[in-house]
Amino acid sequence: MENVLILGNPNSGKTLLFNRLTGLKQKVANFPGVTVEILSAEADGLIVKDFPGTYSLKALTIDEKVAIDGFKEAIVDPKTRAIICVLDATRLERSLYLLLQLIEVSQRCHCPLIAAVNVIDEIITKEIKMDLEGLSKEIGCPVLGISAKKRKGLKELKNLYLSLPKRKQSQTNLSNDIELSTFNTKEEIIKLKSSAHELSKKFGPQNDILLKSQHRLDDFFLSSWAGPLVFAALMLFLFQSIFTWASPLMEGIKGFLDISGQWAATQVSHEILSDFIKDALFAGLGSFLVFAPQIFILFIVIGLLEDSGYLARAAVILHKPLSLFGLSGRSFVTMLSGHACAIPAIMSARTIESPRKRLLTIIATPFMSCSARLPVYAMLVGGFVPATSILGGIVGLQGLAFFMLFAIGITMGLIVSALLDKTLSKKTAQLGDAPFVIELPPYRMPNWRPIVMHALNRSFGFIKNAGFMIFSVTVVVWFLGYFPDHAGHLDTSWLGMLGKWIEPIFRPMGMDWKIGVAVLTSFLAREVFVGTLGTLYGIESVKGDTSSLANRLQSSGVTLASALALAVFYSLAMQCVSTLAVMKKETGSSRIPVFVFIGMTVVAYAAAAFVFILVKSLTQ
Amino acid sequence: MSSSKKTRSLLDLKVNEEGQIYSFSAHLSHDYTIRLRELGFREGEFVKCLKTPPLGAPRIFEICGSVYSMETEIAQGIKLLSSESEKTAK
Ligand SMILES: Nc1nc2c(ncn2[C@@H]2O[C@H](COP(=O)(O)OP(=O)(O)O)[C@@H](O)[C@H]2O)c(=O)[nH]1
Repeated sequence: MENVLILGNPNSGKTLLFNRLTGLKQKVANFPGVTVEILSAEADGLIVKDFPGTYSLKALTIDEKVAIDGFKEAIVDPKTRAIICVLDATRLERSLYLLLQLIEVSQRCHCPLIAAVNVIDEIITKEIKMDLEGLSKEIGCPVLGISAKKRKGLKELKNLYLSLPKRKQSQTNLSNDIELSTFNTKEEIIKLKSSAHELSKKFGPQNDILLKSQHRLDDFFLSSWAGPLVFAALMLFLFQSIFTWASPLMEGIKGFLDISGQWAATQVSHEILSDFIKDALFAGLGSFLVFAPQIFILFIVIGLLEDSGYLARAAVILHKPLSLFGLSGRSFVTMLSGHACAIPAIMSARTIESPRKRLLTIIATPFMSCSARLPVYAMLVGGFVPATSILGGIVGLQGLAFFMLFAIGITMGLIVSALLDKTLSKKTAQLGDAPFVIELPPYRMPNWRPIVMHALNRSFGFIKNAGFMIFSVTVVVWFLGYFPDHAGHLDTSWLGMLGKWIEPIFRPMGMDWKIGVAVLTSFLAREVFVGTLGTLYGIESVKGDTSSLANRLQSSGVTLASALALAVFYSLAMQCVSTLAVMKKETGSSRIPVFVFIGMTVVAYAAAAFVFILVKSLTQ
Repeated sequence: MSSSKKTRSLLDLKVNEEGQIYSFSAHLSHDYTIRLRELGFREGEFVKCLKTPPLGAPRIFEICGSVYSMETEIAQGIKLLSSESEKTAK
């Protein structure tokens, strides 16, 4: 099948256009460097490929290298029907620089090129003048004004590339650097840049009100007094939203699962099967499903922040404080998205220019409390920390405990990064350092639909993947815990015998063998924990008991000290095989994930034992 | 041209002050100067300092209709024409 390539500057709207052309729901964000891999999808009998953003045909960061290497391969491939260069109408001069380079290369390779001037909606609403026809005549390449957001001009764009004839075998071979290196000399760059400047002056937006309104907002968001305050308020809001907004949804899901679980169990007359449905399916899998709303809301709020353009400002404000820990302002964006999931977050570290800071960011990110930790936090905090408030009712104790767990992860990530920065200075110095330059994109009203779709997509994907894993583990756990003596005799089950054998390892953290088993299973993936515990306590419970998992834990003698120790263990331990795999891929080293795994487990164990002893002595 | 004492860098620009780029200092790597030129920081271009944000954050500059924030280290490496030679250039 033939290909259509989408190229352009970072943040020019390539991914949104890709989604519109293919009907997919890839993540869109108002932050340079969100697509770090080539995405492809089929539409109208062609494969559409979305490339990572690049400022030119010379790569500086890893994501740009991915784009440019892919482009060099594709442009000589006869299967490439056309290249769409996405330009940002509000940043025309910079976009034109890449376009001019692409024009030259595509002419040499006889590959059709289409210039799609995106974000035209903002130009139209502000009634700014712009001459796309003139531009097209001047540069000798079709130029279309489009708005990926408002779906303007997309049909015309599609018709244009669908009507192009099939390409013949390209005569040119661009696979070596020689052909592209003409854009490397100072004279070449300056000449090209001047042409872009002239073209933009002549045909581009004849008004800078958009830039002026950006300056006004920056005056506020980057001001000495409001800047840090707004940042703190936004982070508080993010955190509060997961904690409070999700509650009604969670209650709803729990109620539904309880009723349907009871009902389903009565529908099956076979005793063992009915126990399996109740304990393994509904108590096990169900105790995880309850937390899906929190994951969904977390993705929405992070999505809103990303799409608004604010994140680049936060990166600027935090650059200096983060550099104290050996990190860069861009590390903040990686670490924030690590609160949703470490896997895409670690990949997004590709945009960090400095290899050394990139490595430190990758190592610090798994300490951030990802969404898979939320169920564990929520169950333990909700079940063990009293729902009272302190300081005259302003601060809820549960909220505070939640906040502390997030803070522990962030603090530990920063400390580890700082220590590595100091101790490994010789090794990391070899990696090279590059200074921080970041573009401040325009502020935009977040685009609700793609964000909600993306969040839904991610939550369902998460449930589906986790669901399979949790299901498999709960089946095994249920089987080992149910036999030989059936329900109510967990202590004498096979699992009970096994569990008591490993119990001494977990004693110092105040955990009994059941929690120990759940912790062990969750080294595959954190989300397994709640499911395993749900199943174990389901087997043990008396028939008809619908009390929550936390209540069951409490009545089986788990104290506040062990619950907090457990929560701290979860906030610091590396319990995700997929994260380790991504780390290996992104760093190209298998020593780093092994080091991170051992280091994080030791830190988590020590911290949990410490918390247990501390809280125990305080509460006695 | 101007002596080394006289040369100013982006760092010397006050808020809302404009300057014309003259050269890059040698401590910036070759790849970096390429990228800076591509972003618009090329010899002869005018740059404006927009803000010096709080907490010692990197400063904000406007060039060619785009806005960038850059670390002190780089800003220092971008040399500007001194005000006198600017006047004669105009
Ligand atoms: N107003 C407006 N915003 C757009 C348009 N296309 C994309 N955006 C926004 O521009 C930002 C960057 O989009 P994205 O697709 O992630 O860009 P990419 O980095 O080039 O893939 C996001 O905030 C989008 O919502 C458009 O046509 N009009």
